[in-house]
Amino acid sequence: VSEQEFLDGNAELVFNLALRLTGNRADAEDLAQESLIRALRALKGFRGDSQVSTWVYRITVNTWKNRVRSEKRRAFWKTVTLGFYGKDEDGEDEVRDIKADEPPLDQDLEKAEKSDQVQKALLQLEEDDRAIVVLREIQEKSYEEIGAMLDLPQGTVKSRLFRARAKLKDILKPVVKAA
Amino acid sequence: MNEELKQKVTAYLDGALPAAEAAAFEREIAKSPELLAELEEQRAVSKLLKDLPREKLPVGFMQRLERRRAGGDARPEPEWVFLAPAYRPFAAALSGLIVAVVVWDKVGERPLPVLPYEHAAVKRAADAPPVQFELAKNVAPAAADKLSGDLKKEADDAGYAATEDPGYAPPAVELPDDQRRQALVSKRERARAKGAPIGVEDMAPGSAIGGAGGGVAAGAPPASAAAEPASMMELAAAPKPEEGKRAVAAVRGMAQAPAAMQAPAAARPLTEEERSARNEEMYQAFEKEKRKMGIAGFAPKKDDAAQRVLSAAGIGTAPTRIDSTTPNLLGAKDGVLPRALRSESAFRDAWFALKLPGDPPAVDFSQTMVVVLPEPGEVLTTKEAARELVVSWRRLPDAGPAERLRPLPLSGKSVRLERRD
Repeated sequence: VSEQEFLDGNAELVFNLALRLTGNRADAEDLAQESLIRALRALKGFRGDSQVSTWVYRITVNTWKNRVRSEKRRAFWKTVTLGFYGKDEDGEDEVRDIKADEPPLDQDLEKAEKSDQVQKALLQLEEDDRAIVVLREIQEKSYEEIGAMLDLPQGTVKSRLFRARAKLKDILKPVVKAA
Repeated sequence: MNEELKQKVTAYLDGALPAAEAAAFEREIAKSPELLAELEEQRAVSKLLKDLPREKLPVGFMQRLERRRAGGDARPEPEWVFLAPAYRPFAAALSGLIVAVVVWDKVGERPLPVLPYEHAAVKRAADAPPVQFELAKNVAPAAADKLSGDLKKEADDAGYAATEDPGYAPPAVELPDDQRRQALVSKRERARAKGAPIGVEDMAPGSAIGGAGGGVAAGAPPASAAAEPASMMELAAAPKPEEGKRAVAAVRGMAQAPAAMQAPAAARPLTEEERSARNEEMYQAFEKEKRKMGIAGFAPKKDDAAQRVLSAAGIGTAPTRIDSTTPNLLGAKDGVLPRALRSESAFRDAWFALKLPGDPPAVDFSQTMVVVLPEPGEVLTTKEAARELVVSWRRLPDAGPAERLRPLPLSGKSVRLERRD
Protein backbone atom coordinates (compact mmCIF):
# COMPACT_ATOMS: atom_id res chain seq x y z
CA VAL A 1 0.00 0.00 0.00
CA SER A 2 1.46 3.33 -0.99
CA GLU A 3 1.36 6.24 1.38
CA GLN A 4 -1.12 8.13 -0.76
CA GLU A 5 -3.44 5.11 -0.99
CA PHE A 6 -3.17 4.66 2.73
CA LEU A 7 -4.09 8.28 3.38
CA ASP A 8 -6.93 8.30 0.87
CA GLY A 9 -8.49 5.24 2.41
CA ASN A 10 -7.98 5.94 6.10
CA ALA A 11 -7.51 9.64 6.83
CA GLU A 12 -11.23 10.35 7.12
CA LEU A 13 -11.88 7.22 9.17
CA VAL A 14 -9.10 8.16 11.54
CA PHE A 15 -10.37 11.74 11.79
CA ASN A 16 -13.91 10.57 12.64
CA LEU A 17 -12.63 8.13 15.22
CA ALA A 18 -10.54 10.89 16.70
CA LEU A 19 -13.51 13.23 16.66
CA ARG A 20 -15.66 10.81 18.68
CA LEU A 21 -12.85 10.09 21.08
CA THR A 22 -11.85 13.69 21.71
CA GLY A 23 -15.19 15.42 21.23
CA ASN A 24 -13.94 18.48 19.29
CA ARG A 25 -12.56 19.12 15.84
CA ALA A 26 -9.34 20.85 16.85
CA ASP A 27 -8.17 18.07 19.09
CA ALA A 28 -9.50 15.54 16.60
CA GLU A 29 -7.39 17.00 13.79
CA ASP A 30 -4.32 17.09 15.98
CA LEU A 31 -4.84 13.50 17.09
CA ALA A 32 -5.63 12.29 13.59
CA GLN A 33 -2.54 13.92 12.11
CA GLU A 34 -0.24 12.57 14.77
CA SER A 35 -1.75 9.08 14.38
CA LEU A 36 -1.44 9.17 10.62
CA ILE A 37 2.19 10.34 10.79
CA ARG A 38 3.01 7.51 13.16
CA ALA A 39 1.21 5.07 10.90
CA LEU A 40 3.06 6.33 7.83
CA ARG A 41 6.38 5.90 9.60
CA ALA A 42 5.48 2.30 10.44
CA LEU A 43 3.73 1.54 7.17
CA LYS A 44 6.72 -0.22 5.64
CA GLY A 45 6.82 -2.61 8.55
CA PHE A 46 3.10 -3.42 8.37
CA ARG A 47 2.84 -7.18 7.73
CA GLY A 48 -0.85 -7.35 6.80
CA ASP A 49 -1.86 -9.57 9.73
CA SER A 50 -5.02 -7.51 10.09
CA GLN A 51 -6.93 -5.01 8.05
CA VAL A 52 -5.13 -1.71 7.53
CA SER A 53 -8.07 0.11 9.07
CA THR A 54 -7.87 -2.04 12.19
CA TRP A 55 -4.14 -1.42 12.43
CA VAL A 56 -4.44 2.36 12.05
CA TYR A 57 -7.39 2.44 14.47
CA ARG A 58 -5.19 0.73 17.01
CA ILE A 59 -2.47 3.34 16.49
CA THR A 60 -5.06 6.10 16.86
CA VAL A 61 -6.57 4.70 20.04
CA ASN A 62 -3.15 4.15 21.62
CA THR A 63 -2.01 7.65 20.68
CA TRP A 64 -5.19 9.06 22.14
CA LYS A 65 -4.81 7.09 25.39
CA ASN A 66 -1.24 8.35 25.77
CA ARG A 67 -2.48 11.87 25.21
CA VAL A 68 -5.22 11.46 27.79
CA ARG A 69 -2.67 10.40 30.36
CA SER A 70 -0.43 13.39 29.69
CA GLU A 71 -3.46 15.69 29.48
CA LYS A 72 -4.51 14.61 32.93
CA ARG A 73 -1.11 15.56 34.26
CA ARG A 74 -1.24 18.88 32.43
CA ALA A 75 -4.80 19.47 33.59
CA PHE A 76 -3.60 19.28 37.16
CA TRP A 77 -1.10 22.04 36.57
CA LYS A 78 -3.59 24.06 34.55
CA THR A 79 -6.04 23.89 37.42
CA VAL A 80 -3.40 25.20 39.78
CA THR A 81 -2.51 27.98 37.41
CA LEU A 82 -6.11 29.02 36.79
CA GLY A 83 -6.77 29.11 40.49
CA PHE A 84 -3.72 31.26 40.89
CA TYR A 85 -4.91 33.76 38.34
CA GLY A 86 -7.78 34.90 40.44
CA LYS A 87 -11.44 34.81 41.38
CA ASP A 88 -14.55 35.67 39.51
CA GLU A 89 -17.21 38.11 40.69
CA ASP A 90 -18.68 35.58 43.12
CA GLY A 91 -15.31 34.92 44.69
CA GLU A 92 -15.06 31.54 43.06
CA ASP A 93 -11.99 30.38 41.23
CA GLU A 94 -12.16 31.43 37.63
CA VAL A 95 -12.91 28.49 35.39
CA ARG A 96 -11.82 28.92 31.83
CA ASP A 97 -13.05 26.77 29.03
CA ILE A 98 -9.96 25.23 27.55
CA LYS A 99 -11.85 23.71 24.67
CA ALA A 100 -11.62 25.46 21.35
CA ASP A 101 -14.70 27.17 20.07
CA GLU A 102 -16.07 25.28 17.10
CA PRO A 103 -19.06 25.22 14.87
CA PRO A 104 -21.76 22.59 15.49
CA LEU A 105 -21.03 19.21 14.01
CA ASP A 106 -24.19 19.34 11.91
CA GLN A 107 -25.97 22.12 10.18
CA ASP A 108 -29.38 20.73 11.08
CA LEU A 109 -30.03 22.23 14.51
CA GLU A 110 -32.15 19.35 15.77
CA LYS A 111 -29.70 16.81 14.56
CA ALA A 112 -26.83 18.87 15.79
CA GLU A 113 -28.38 19.13 19.25
CA LYS A 114 -28.94 15.39 19.40
CA SER A 115 -25.42 14.70 18.20
CA ASP A 116 -24.06 17.10 20.74
CA GLN A 117 -25.92 15.31 23.54
CA VAL A 118 -24.66 11.92 22.37
CA GLN A 119 -21.13 13.22 22.08
CA LYS A 120 -21.32 14.67 25.61
CA ALA A 121 -22.61 11.34 26.85
CA LEU A 122 -19.67 9.63 25.21
CA LEU A 123 -17.27 11.98 26.90
CA GLN A 124 -18.67 10.93 30.27
CA LEU A 125 -17.42 7.39 29.79
CA GLU A 126 -14.06 6.13 30.97
CA GLU A 127 -11.48 6.32 28.21
CA ASP A 128 -11.31 2.59 27.58
CA ASP A 129 -15.09 2.26 27.66
CA ARG A 130 -15.46 5.17 25.27
CA ALA A 131 -12.97 3.66 22.88
CA ILE A 132 -14.79 0.31 22.97
CA VAL A 133 -18.19 1.92 22.35
CA VAL A 134 -16.90 4.06 19.50
CA LEU A 135 -15.07 1.17 17.88
CA ARG A 136 -18.07 -1.09 18.20
CA GLU A 137 -21.01 1.21 17.48
CA ILE A 138 -19.51 3.74 15.10
CA GLN A 139 -16.67 1.92 13.48
CA GLU A 140 -18.54 -1.42 13.70
CA LYS A 141 -15.55 -3.45 14.76
CA SER A 142 -16.01 -6.94 16.19
CA TYR A 143 -15.19 -7.94 19.75
CA GLU A 144 -12.14 -9.70 18.44
CA GLU A 145 -10.86 -6.67 16.56
CA ILE A 146 -11.53 -4.38 19.50
CA GLY A 147 -9.70 -6.78 21.81
CA ALA A 148 -6.76 -6.82 19.41
CA MET A 149 -6.69 -3.05 19.15
CA LEU A 150 -6.84 -2.43 22.89
CA ASP A 151 -4.95 -5.51 24.00
CA LEU A 152 -7.96 -6.74 25.92
CA PRO A 153 -9.56 -10.18 26.09
CA GLN A 154 -12.87 -10.53 24.29
CA GLY A 155 -14.68 -11.22 27.56
CA THR A 156 -13.38 -7.93 28.95
CA VAL A 157 -14.44 -6.12 25.80
CA LYS A 158 -17.88 -7.62 26.09
CA SER A 159 -18.37 -6.79 29.75
CA ARG A 160 -17.01 -3.25 29.33
CA LEU A 161 -19.20 -2.69 26.31
CA PHE A 162 -22.23 -3.80 28.29
CA ARG A 163 -21.26 -1.52 31.20
CA ALA A 164 -20.71 1.44 28.85
CA ARG A 165 -24.02 0.90 27.08
CA ALA A 166 -25.85 0.74 30.37
CA LYS A 167 -24.31 4.05 31.41
CA LEU A 168 -25.10 5.63 28.05
CA LYS A 169 -28.69 4.38 28.31
CA ASP A 170 -29.06 6.17 31.62
CA ILE A 171 -27.47 9.35 30.32
CA LEU A 172 -29.40 9.39 27.05
CA LYS A 173 -32.77 8.25 28.47
CA PRO A 174 -34.42 11.66 27.80
CA VAL A 175 -33.11 11.66 24.25
CA VAL A 176 -34.32 8.10 23.66
CA LYS A 177 -37.80 8.91 24.99
CA ALA A 178 -38.02 12.02 22.85
CA ALA A 179 -37.04 9.98 19.85
CA MET B 1 -34.07 -8.46 34.92
CA ASN B 2 -30.74 -9.88 35.84
CA GLU B 3 -27.40 -8.77 34.43
CA GLU B 4 -26.93 -12.02 32.55
CA LEU B 5 -30.03 -11.43 30.43
CA LYS B 6 -29.04 -7.83 29.76
CA GLN B 7 -25.62 -8.99 28.57
CA LYS B 8 -27.32 -11.51 26.34
CA VAL B 9 -29.39 -8.69 24.83
CA THR B 10 -26.17 -6.79 24.13
CA ALA B 11 -24.58 -9.85 22.50
CA TYR B 12 -27.73 -10.44 20.43
CA LEU B 13 -27.66 -6.85 19.19
CA ASP B 14 -23.98 -7.19 18.25
CA GLY B 15 -24.65 -10.48 16.45
CA ALA B 16 -22.25 -12.22 18.76
CA LEU B 17 -24.59 -15.11 19.59
CA PRO B 18 -24.37 -18.35 17.62
CA ALA B 19 -27.20 -18.71 15.12
CA ALA B 20 -29.11 -21.41 17.08
CA GLU B 21 -28.77 -19.50 20.35
CA ALA B 22 -29.83 -16.28 18.63
CA ALA B 23 -32.99 -17.96 17.26
CA ALA B 24 -33.86 -19.36 20.67
CA PHE B 25 -33.29 -15.93 22.26
CA GLU B 26 -35.56 -14.28 19.69
CA ARG B 27 -38.37 -16.61 20.72
CA GLU B 28 -37.70 -15.78 24.36
CA ILE B 29 -37.81 -12.05 23.61
CA ALA B 30 -41.11 -12.38 21.84
CA LYS B 31 -42.64 -13.92 24.94
CA SER B 32 -41.15 -11.34 27.36
CA PRO B 33 -42.13 -7.64 27.09
CA GLU B 34 -39.43 -6.81 29.63
CA LEU B 35 -36.75 -8.36 27.43
CA LEU B 36 -38.23 -6.62 24.43
CA ALA B 37 -38.12 -3.24 26.20
CA GLU B 38 -34.50 -3.75 27.12
CA LEU B 39 -33.68 -4.71 23.56
CA GLU B 40 -35.43 -1.60 22.21
CA GLU B 41 -33.63 0.69 24.65
CA GLN B 42 -30.26 -0.74 23.78
CA ARG B 43 -31.01 -0.59 20.10
CA ALA B 44 -32.06 3.05 20.41
CA VAL B 45 -28.85 3.99 22.14
CA SER B 46 -26.89 2.09 19.56
CA LYS B 47 -28.76 3.90 16.84
CA LEU B 48 -28.00 7.25 18.39
CA LEU B 49 -24.31 6.38 18.30
CA LYS B 50 -24.46 5.03 14.78
CA ASP B 51 -26.34 8.14 13.65
CA LEU B 52 -23.50 10.37 14.70
CA PRO B 53 -22.58 12.11 11.46
CA ARG B 54 -19.49 11.13 9.60
CA GLU B 55 -17.44 14.24 9.28
CA LYS B 56 -15.46 15.24 6.25
CA LEU B 57 -11.82 16.05 6.70
CA PRO B 58 -11.34 19.69 7.61
CA VAL B 59 -10.21 21.96 4.81
CA GLY B 60 -6.44 21.92 4.49
CA PHE B 61 -6.10 18.86 6.67
CA MET B 62 -3.84 17.02 4.21
CA GLN B 63 -1.66 20.09 3.59
CA ARG B 64 -1.20 20.61 7.28
CA LEU B 65 -0.46 16.95 7.68
CA GLU B 66 2.22 17.08 4.97
CA ARG B 67 3.72 20.25 6.46
CA ARG B 68 3.85 18.73 9.88
CA ARG B 69 5.27 15.55 8.51
CA ALA B 70 7.95 17.40 6.55
CA GLY B 71 8.97 19.19 9.78
CA GLY B 72 9.54 15.82 11.37
CA ASP B 73 7.00 16.71 13.96
CA ALA B 74 4.48 14.13 14.98
CA ARG B 75 3.07 16.49 17.58
CA PRO B 76 3.25 20.24 18.09
CA GLU B 77 5.34 21.71 20.88
CA PRO B 78 3.75 21.00 24.23
CA GLU B 79 2.08 23.97 25.86
CA TRP B 80 4.14 23.81 29.00
CA VAL B 81 7.29 25.01 27.21
CA PHE B 82 7.02 28.71 27.98
CA LEU B 83 10.53 29.82 27.15
CA ALA B 84 10.97 31.23 23.68
CA PRO B 85 13.53 29.31 21.62
CA ALA B 86 15.73 32.41 21.34
CA TYR B 87 16.24 32.41 25.09
CA ARG B 88 16.95 28.74 25.50
CA PRO B 89 20.73 28.98 24.95
CA PHE B 90 20.92 31.58 27.71
CA ALA B 91 18.84 29.39 29.98
CA ALA B 92 21.10 26.45 29.26
CA ALA B 93 24.20 28.54 29.94
CA LEU B 94 22.74 29.83 33.18
CA SER B 95 21.83 26.34 34.29
CA GLY B 96 25.35 25.16 33.51
CA LEU B 97 26.80 28.04 35.47
CA ILE B 98 24.66 27.26 38.50
CA VAL B 99 25.63 23.62 38.35
CA ALA B 100 29.30 24.58 38.05
CA VAL B 101 29.08 26.90 41.06
CA VAL B 102 27.37 24.25 43.15
CA VAL B 103 29.91 21.61 42.17
CA TRP B 104 32.79 23.98 42.78
CA ASP B 105 31.37 24.91 46.14
CA LYS B 106 30.99 21.30 47.15
CA VAL B 107 34.47 20.40 46.00
CA GLY B 108 35.94 23.48 47.65
CA GLU B 109 34.39 22.61 50.95
CA ARG B 110 36.03 19.25 51.14
CA PRO B 111 38.30 19.30 54.19
CA LEU B 112 41.93 18.42 53.78
CA PRO B 113 42.82 15.00 55.10
CA VAL B 114 44.31 15.02 58.56
CA LEU B 115 47.29 12.74 58.72
CA PRO B 116 47.73 10.76 61.90
CA TYR B 117 50.91 12.54 62.96
CA GLU B 118 49.32 15.95 62.34
CA HIS B 119 46.41 14.99 64.49
CA ALA B 120 48.78 13.89 67.22
CA ALA B 121 50.72 17.12 67.00
CA VAL B 122 47.60 19.18 67.40
CA LYS B 123 46.56 17.16 70.38
CA ARG B 124 49.96 17.57 72.03
CA ALA B 125 49.91 21.30 71.58
CA ALA B 126 46.40 21.56 72.93
CA ASP B 127 47.16 19.44 75.98
CA ALA B 128 50.49 20.97 76.74
CA PRO B 129 50.56 23.41 79.64
CA PRO B 130 51.17 26.96 78.55
CA VAL B 131 54.47 26.95 80.37
CA GLN B 132 56.15 29.58 78.32
CA PHE B 133 53.30 31.99 78.69
CA GLU B 134 52.95 31.27 82.33
CA LEU B 135 56.61 31.73 83.01
CA ALA B 136 57.01 34.84 81.01
CA LYS B 137 53.69 36.45 81.77
CA ASN B 138 52.14 34.90 84.84
CA VAL B 139 55.19 34.36 86.98
CA ALA B 140 57.63 36.84 85.65
CA PRO B 141 55.69 39.29 83.54
CA ALA B 142 55.26 42.06 86.04
CA ALA B 143 58.86 41.70 87.00
CA ALA B 144 59.92 41.18 83.46
CA ASP B 145 58.47 44.50 82.55
CA LYS B 146 60.72 46.12 85.05
CA LEU B 147 63.77 43.99 84.63
CA SER B 148 66.59 44.55 82.27
CA GLY B 149 66.52 42.87 78.90
CA ASP B 150 68.90 40.16 80.05
CA LEU B 151 66.78 39.21 82.97
CA LYS B 152 63.68 38.99 80.84
CA LYS B 153 65.52 36.93 78.29
CA GLU B 154 66.60 34.57 81.01
CA ALA B 155 63.05 34.09 82.16
CA ASP B 156 61.88 33.55 78.66
CA ASP B 157 64.68 31.10 77.99
CA ALA B 158 63.71 29.21 81.06
CA GLY B 159 60.15 29.05 79.88
CA TYR B 160 61.15 27.93 76.44
CA ALA B 161 63.51 25.32 77.77
CA ALA B 162 60.80 23.99 80.04
CA THR B 163 58.48 23.47 77.13
CA GLU B 164 61.12 21.50 75.30
CA ASP B 165 62.31 19.34 78.15
CA PRO B 166 60.12 18.60 81.14
CA GLY B 167 63.20 17.62 83.12
CA TYR B 168 64.98 20.83 82.40
CA ALA B 169 65.33 23.17 85.33
CA PRO B 170 65.71 26.86 84.62
CA PRO B 171 68.16 28.69 86.83
CA ALA B 172 66.71 30.68 89.69
CA VAL B 173 67.26 34.37 89.28
CA GLU B 174 67.97 36.74 92.08
CA LEU B 175 66.16 40.01 91.87
CA PRO B 176 67.22 43.34 93.20
CA ASP B 177 65.17 44.37 96.21
CA ASP B 178 62.96 46.96 94.51
CA GLN B 179 62.30 44.72 91.51
CA ARG B 180 61.59 41.77 93.77
CA ARG B 181 59.12 43.87 95.66
CA GLN B 182 57.40 44.85 92.47
CA ALA B 183 57.29 41.26 91.29
CA LEU B 184 55.87 40.09 94.60
CA VAL B 185 53.22 42.76 94.63
CA SER B 186 52.18 41.83 91.15
CA LYS B 187 52.21 38.17 92.02
CA ARG B 188 50.16 38.84 95.14
CA GLU B 189 47.62 40.75 93.15
CA ARG B 190 47.33 37.98 90.63
CA ALA B 191 47.03 35.34 93.27
CA ARG B 192 44.38 37.33 95.10
CA ALA B 193 42.46 37.63 91.88
CA LYS B 194 42.59 33.85 91.57
CA GLY B 195 41.64 33.33 95.20
CA ALA B 196 44.91 31.75 96.26
CA PRO B 197 46.31 32.63 99.72
CA ILE B 198 49.59 34.46 99.91
CA GLY B 199 51.89 33.66 102.79
CA VAL B 200 54.03 36.17 104.58
CA GLU B 201 57.07 34.22 103.49
CA ASP B 202 56.44 35.60 100.03
CA MET B 203 58.00 38.75 101.28
CA ALA B 204 61.08 37.00 102.52
CA PRO B 205 64.33 38.12 100.93
CA GLY B 206 65.79 35.93 98.29
CA SER B 207 62.61 35.37 96.32
CA ALA B 208 63.38 34.26 92.85
CA ILE B 209 61.78 33.62 89.54
CA GLY B 210 61.66 29.97 88.78
CA GLY B 211 59.98 27.70 86.33
CA ALA B 212 58.68 24.21 86.00
CA GLY B 213 61.02 21.87 87.71
CA GLY B 214 62.69 24.75 89.51
CA GLY B 215 63.31 22.54 92.51
CA VAL B 216 65.55 20.36 90.44
CA ALA B 217 67.57 23.35 89.42
CA ALA B 218 68.23 24.19 93.04
CA GLY B 219 69.15 20.66 93.91
CA ALA B 220 65.95 19.98 95.75
CA PRO B 221 63.26 17.50 94.77
CA PRO B 222 59.95 18.85 93.44
CA ALA B 223 57.43 19.36 96.17
CA SER B 224 53.69 19.68 96.07
CA ALA B 225 51.83 22.65 97.39
CA ALA B 226 50.34 20.58 100.18
CA ALA B 227 53.78 19.60 101.45
CA GLU B 228 55.10 23.10 101.29
CA PRO B 229 55.49 23.94 105.01
CA ALA B 230 57.67 20.93 105.79
CA SER B 231 59.68 21.35 102.64
CA MET B 232 60.20 24.99 103.39
CA MET B 233 61.59 24.24 106.76
CA GLU B 234 63.96 21.68 105.38
CA LEU B 235 65.12 23.81 102.54
CA ALA B 236 65.53 26.85 104.67
CA ALA B 237 67.68 24.86 107.00
CA ALA B 238 69.99 23.70 104.25
CA PRO B 239 73.72 23.86 105.00
CA LYS B 240 74.31 26.50 102.37
CA PRO B 241 71.97 29.44 103.08
CA GLU B 242 72.01 30.82 99.56
CA GLU B 243 71.11 27.50 97.99
CA GLY B 244 68.44 27.00 100.61
CA LYS B 245 66.89 30.35 99.83
CA ARG B 246 66.89 29.59 96.16
CA ALA B 247 65.35 26.22 96.72
CA VAL B 248 62.63 27.71 98.91
CA ALA B 249 62.00 30.33 96.31
CA ALA B 250 61.88 27.74 93.59
CA VAL B 251 59.42 25.58 95.51
CA ARG B 252 57.31 28.63 96.28
CA GLY B 253 57.41 29.53 92.65
CA MET B 254 55.92 26.18 91.89
CA ALA B 255 53.34 26.55 94.60
CA GLN B 256 52.32 29.92 93.30
CA ALA B 257 52.49 28.90 89.68
CA PRO B 258 49.37 27.77 87.93
CA ALA B 259 48.41 24.16 88.29
CA ALA B 260 49.14 23.64 84.65
CA MET B 261 52.81 24.26 85.36
CA GLN B 262 53.04 21.91 88.31
CA ALA B 263 51.44 18.88 86.76
CA PRO B 264 51.20 18.90 83.02
CA ALA B 265 49.04 15.79 83.07
CA ALA B 266 46.42 17.66 85.11
CA ALA B 267 46.67 20.86 83.14
CA ARG B 268 43.48 22.85 82.99
CA PRO B 269 42.61 25.26 80.22
CA LEU B 270 42.59 28.93 81.10
CA THR B 271 39.23 30.49 81.62
CA GLU B 272 38.13 33.23 79.33
CA GLU B 273 38.80 35.90 81.94
CA GLU B 274 42.28 34.55 82.65
CA ARG B 275 43.11 34.38 79.03
CA SER B 276 41.84 37.89 78.48
CA ALA B 277 43.84 39.23 81.41
CA ARG B 278 46.95 37.46 80.18
CA ASN B 279 46.53 38.87 76.71
CA GLU B 280 45.96 42.35 78.04
CA GLU B 281 49.13 42.04 80.15
CA MET B 282 51.08 40.87 77.15
CA TYR B 283 49.72 43.70 75.08
CA GLN B 284 50.63 46.33 77.64
CA ALA B 285 54.14 44.89 77.98
CA PHE B 286 54.51 44.92 74.23
CA GLU B 287 53.35 48.52 74.00
CA LYS B 288 55.78 49.47 76.73
CA GLU B 289 58.63 47.85 74.87
CA LYS B 290 57.65 49.70 71.74
CA ARG B 291 57.74 52.97 73.59
CA LYS B 292 61.16 52.16 74.96
CA MET B 293 62.41 51.38 71.48
CA GLY B 294 60.89 54.53 70.04
CA ILE B 295 58.77 52.68 67.49
CA ALA B 296 56.34 55.04 65.83
CA GLY B 297 52.70 54.31 66.23
CA PHE B 298 52.48 54.00 69.94
CA ALA B 299 52.19 57.76 70.51
CA PRO B 300 48.73 58.83 71.54
CA LYS B 301 46.70 60.67 69.02
CA LYS B 302 46.90 64.41 68.96
CA ASP B 303 43.25 64.79 69.82
CA ASP B 304 43.70 62.49 72.79
CA ALA B 305 46.46 64.69 74.12
CA ALA B 306 44.33 67.76 73.68
CA GLN B 307 41.46 66.01 75.42
CA ARG B 308 43.66 65.15 78.36
CA VAL B 309 44.90 68.72 78.66
CA LEU B 310 41.45 70.17 78.49
CA SER B 311 40.01 67.59 80.83
CA ALA B 312 42.70 68.38 83.37
CA ALA B 313 41.72 72.02 83.09
CA GLY B 314 38.10 71.08 83.69
CA ILE B 315 37.08 72.50 80.36
CA GLY B 316 35.34 69.40 79.05
CA THR B 317 34.93 68.41 75.45
CA ALA B 318 37.97 68.77 73.30
CA PRO B 319 37.88 71.23 70.43
CA THR B 320 36.80 69.67 67.23
CA ARG B 321 40.01 70.65 65.55
CA ILE B 322 43.40 71.75 66.90
CA ASP B 323 45.20 74.10 64.61
CA SER B 324 48.86 73.50 64.06
CA THR B 325 49.56 77.13 64.72
CA THR B 326 48.06 76.94 68.17
CA PRO B 327 50.95 77.51 70.54
CA ASN B 328 51.47 75.98 73.93
CA LEU B 329 48.53 73.64 73.64
CA LEU B 330 50.30 70.37 74.30
CA GLY B 331 53.00 71.92 76.39
CA ALA B 332 50.86 74.04 78.67
CA LYS B 333 52.11 73.26 82.15
CA ASP B 334 49.18 74.78 83.94
CA GLY B 335 46.81 72.54 82.04
CA VAL B 336 44.76 75.34 80.50
CA LEU B 337 44.21 76.63 77.03
CA PRO B 338 47.07 78.45 75.37
CA ARG B 339 47.63 81.79 76.95
CA ALA B 340 47.53 83.65 73.67
CA LEU B 341 45.46 82.89 70.62
CA ARG B 342 46.92 84.29 67.45
CA SER B 343 44.79 82.76 64.75
CA GLU B 344 41.12 82.57 63.96
CA SER B 345 41.11 78.79 64.10
CA ALA B 346 42.75 78.72 67.53
CA PHE B 347 40.29 81.32 68.72
CA ARG B 348 37.39 79.27 67.33
CA ASP B 349 38.65 76.10 69.02
CA ALA B 350 38.98 77.89 72.32
CA TRP B 351 35.53 79.37 71.93
CA PHE B 352 33.97 75.96 71.54
CA ALA B 353 36.18 74.44 74.20
CA LEU B 354 34.81 76.98 76.65
CA LYS B 355 31.32 75.98 75.49
CA LEU B 356 30.46 79.56 74.69
CA PRO B 357 27.21 80.06 72.84
CA GLY B 358 26.98 80.91 69.18
CA ASP B 359 29.85 81.62 66.86
CA PRO B 360 32.97 83.41 68.01
CA PRO B 361 33.07 87.15 67.21
CA ALA B 362 35.18 88.40 64.36
CA VAL B 363 38.72 89.29 65.39
CA ASP B 364 41.39 90.83 63.20
CA PHE B 365 44.31 88.55 64.00
CA SER B 366 46.64 90.59 61.86
CA GLN B 367 46.48 93.27 64.56
CA THR B 368 45.11 91.45 67.56
CA MET B 369 45.64 88.40 69.70
CA VAL B 370 43.37 86.99 72.37
CA VAL B 371 44.64 86.18 75.85
CA VAL B 372 43.00 83.33 77.69
CA LEU B 373 42.65 83.96 81.39
CA PRO B 374 42.43 81.03 83.82
CA GLU B 375 39.20 82.48 85.15
CA PRO B 376 36.78 85.16 84.00
CA GLY B 377 38.46 88.45 84.66
CA GLU B 378 39.89 91.63 83.20
CA VAL B 379 43.33 92.67 82.00
CA LEU B 380 44.85 95.34 84.15
CA THR B 381 48.21 96.05 82.52
CA THR B 382 50.58 94.62 79.95
CA LYS B 383 54.34 94.85 80.18
CA GLU B 384 56.81 93.73 77.57
CA ALA B 385 59.87 91.99 78.92
CA ALA B 386 62.83 90.76 76.89
CA ARG B 387 61.27 87.41 75.92
CA GLU B 388 57.72 87.60 77.16
CA LEU B 389 54.70 89.76 77.55
CA VAL B 390 53.62 89.99 81.17
CA VAL B 391 49.88 90.44 81.48
CA SER B 392 48.47 91.35 84.89
CA TRP B 393 44.84 90.57 85.43
CA ARG B 394 42.25 90.16 88.13
CA ARG B 395 39.32 87.86 88.60
CA LEU B 396 35.77 89.08 88.11
CA PRO B 397 33.51 86.92 90.29
CA ASP B 398 30.28 87.65 88.45
CA ALA B 399 31.63 87.41 84.92
CA GLY B 400 30.82 84.58 82.55
CA PRO B 401 33.25 82.24 80.82
CA ALA B 402 33.36 84.56 77.81
CA GLU B 403 35.27 86.97 80.00
CA ARG B 404 38.20 84.56 79.99
CA LEU B 405 38.98 85.67 76.46
CA ARG B 406 40.54 89.13 76.35
CA PRO B 407 41.83 90.84 73.16
CA LEU B 408 45.22 92.48 73.23
CA PRO B 409 47.46 94.05 70.57
CA LEU B 410 49.32 91.36 68.67
CA SER B 411 52.62 90.32 70.13
CA GLY B 412 54.92 87.53 69.05
CA LYS B 413 56.31 86.99 72.53
CA SER B 414 55.06 84.33 74.86
CA VAL B 415 52.56 85.49 77.41
CA ARG B 416 52.94 85.29 81.17
CA LEU B 417 49.91 85.96 83.32
CA GLU B 418 50.17 87.62 86.70
CA ARG B 419 47.11 87.62 88.83
CA ARG B 420 46.38 90.75 90.86
CA ASP B 421 43.37 90.26 93.10
